[in-house]
Amino acid sequence: MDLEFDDKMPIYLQIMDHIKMDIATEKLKANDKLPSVREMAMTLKVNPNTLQRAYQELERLGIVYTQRGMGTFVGERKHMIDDLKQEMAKEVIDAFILRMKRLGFNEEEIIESISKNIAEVNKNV
Amino acid sequence: MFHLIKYELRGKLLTILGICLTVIIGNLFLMTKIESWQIGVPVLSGFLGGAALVVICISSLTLMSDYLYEEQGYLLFTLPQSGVSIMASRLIAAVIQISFVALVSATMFGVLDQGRLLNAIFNQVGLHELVYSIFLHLWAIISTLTFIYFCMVVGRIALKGKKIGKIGSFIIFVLLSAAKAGLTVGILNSFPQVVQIQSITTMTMNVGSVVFDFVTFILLFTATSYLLEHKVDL
Amino acid sequence: MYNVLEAENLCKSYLNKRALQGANLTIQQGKILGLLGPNGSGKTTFLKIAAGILHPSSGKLLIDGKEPGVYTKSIVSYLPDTEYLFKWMKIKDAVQYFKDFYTDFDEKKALALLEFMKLDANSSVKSLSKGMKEKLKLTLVLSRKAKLYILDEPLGGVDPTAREKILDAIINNFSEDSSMIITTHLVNDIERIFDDVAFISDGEIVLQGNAEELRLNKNKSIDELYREVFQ
Repeated sequence: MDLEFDDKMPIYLQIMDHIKMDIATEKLKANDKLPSVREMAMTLKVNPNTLQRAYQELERLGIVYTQRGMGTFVGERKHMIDDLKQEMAKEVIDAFILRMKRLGFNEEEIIESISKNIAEVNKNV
Repeated sequence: MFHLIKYELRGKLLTILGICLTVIIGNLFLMTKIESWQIGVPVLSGFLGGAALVVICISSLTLMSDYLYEEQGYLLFTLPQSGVSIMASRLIAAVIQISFVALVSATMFGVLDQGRLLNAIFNQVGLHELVYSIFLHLWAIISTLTFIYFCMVVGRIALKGKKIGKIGSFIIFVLLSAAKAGLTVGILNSFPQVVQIQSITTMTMNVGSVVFDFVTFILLFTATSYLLEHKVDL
Repeated sequence: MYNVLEAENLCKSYLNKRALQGANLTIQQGKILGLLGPNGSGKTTFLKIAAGILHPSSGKLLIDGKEPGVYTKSIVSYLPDTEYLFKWMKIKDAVQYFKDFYTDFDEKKALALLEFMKLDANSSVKSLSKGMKEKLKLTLVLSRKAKLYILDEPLGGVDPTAREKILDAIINNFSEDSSMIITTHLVNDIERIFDDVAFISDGEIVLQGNAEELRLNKNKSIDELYREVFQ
């Protein structure tokens, strides 16, 4: 796993986001086994306790489940992928809108600029 | 404690071997000169042995000072070892290396002398006197080293800096030696009782000063062990 | 939770200066604490007291409930910032030395770590470069199954590749039932392995807390916080 950390934010949140992203983009599928805490700590060069916390939080949210002695697995809840996508999309959009507003755009201008830019982005991709 | 002694001797291995080789080669050289130098040869061999002893005794002092002033102290003083075993291991290692060098020197002298002097001694001195005299020498080494180690440790704790600490230790040594000598004279005067030991040289032993020496040794040994464990700051 | 180390109002003064003036610090079991501060802030003094080779002027420091002494030395594995191995030693002699003196020393682990660090058991300690010496010391210290590991500047004077190896070794060999205290002034390289951090300045702990909470509350990395505290 390749992950650039932003040390300004809690590391465990960034690890959680990363795993959520992998699930949303179906790099990780239902019942896939996640690397062990120690393995992952080694690759990411992060304190094992931090990873433990990330896994625990994900479990609390029902995104992963743990089987004693077996490891941690991606959950198989219905609509989980959609939910995750929605949730992450919301985060991105919220942050975007907030910044646009700070720049002085009003609602209509924001929508307008999105429609305009989407066409450009599509051309370039 | 066995391990502590082992590593001290291992650390001094080169010094010990170096001294012994010098003694052996020196004596072999002297043997080739027996014809021409006559009586000078055993005398020189004796000097050589004496010099070897002086060197190994000085090297025994570094068994303590190296750990007080060099970075190796971090290795020794972080071991889960009590002050007593650190102190005792230093003394035992010193006695072993000094005895070893003494033995090599004596053996080489014996060979060179073709056993004449040793035979003479064995003929006139009883076994118990020999044992007593060896015991006396060991005791002298142990009590002297304890005394010096004590001065070193006190100097290290009381004074800052390597140079000042070492000079300070030496001054403490001189002062304490004077004090000890004064006390011994006092004791000899107040308790003149002696025990005679039969011998050609008629060795005598003053009871008061023996007790005094022994008590001093115990006190210094205990104090040094305590200071090593509880007071030495690296 | 169980505190492996507790320091209360710890002071150490010398004739002309005060190295520690009332430091308070606790380390919980299973945690890695970063003790951060510039040179001369009292970091090393604190660690040396915990290692039992320096004695406090006042205040107290307890490890596993005991004052530093023979017992605490048997459960503390200390990496000093000095070259303390004997000059005559080969690497295998150094391993044997630790095996002889520490009952919690795991020789198999040491050999595995030597291999991981690419150190040859037959090379002599004298011939090693600074980075290799640091790796050797760390191998010895981490091969003990201690309750508390004390690492004084494990990354000091070491090139970036060696730094990565050292970090890997620390993460991989750390277990939940032990604790660790690491000092450094290279905060950026190592901040992600700390559970807790404590900033030490002029012999006092000026800020202590959980690393993640600090990031969250201050919206700054530990490295940035460090720069802010010490300018």
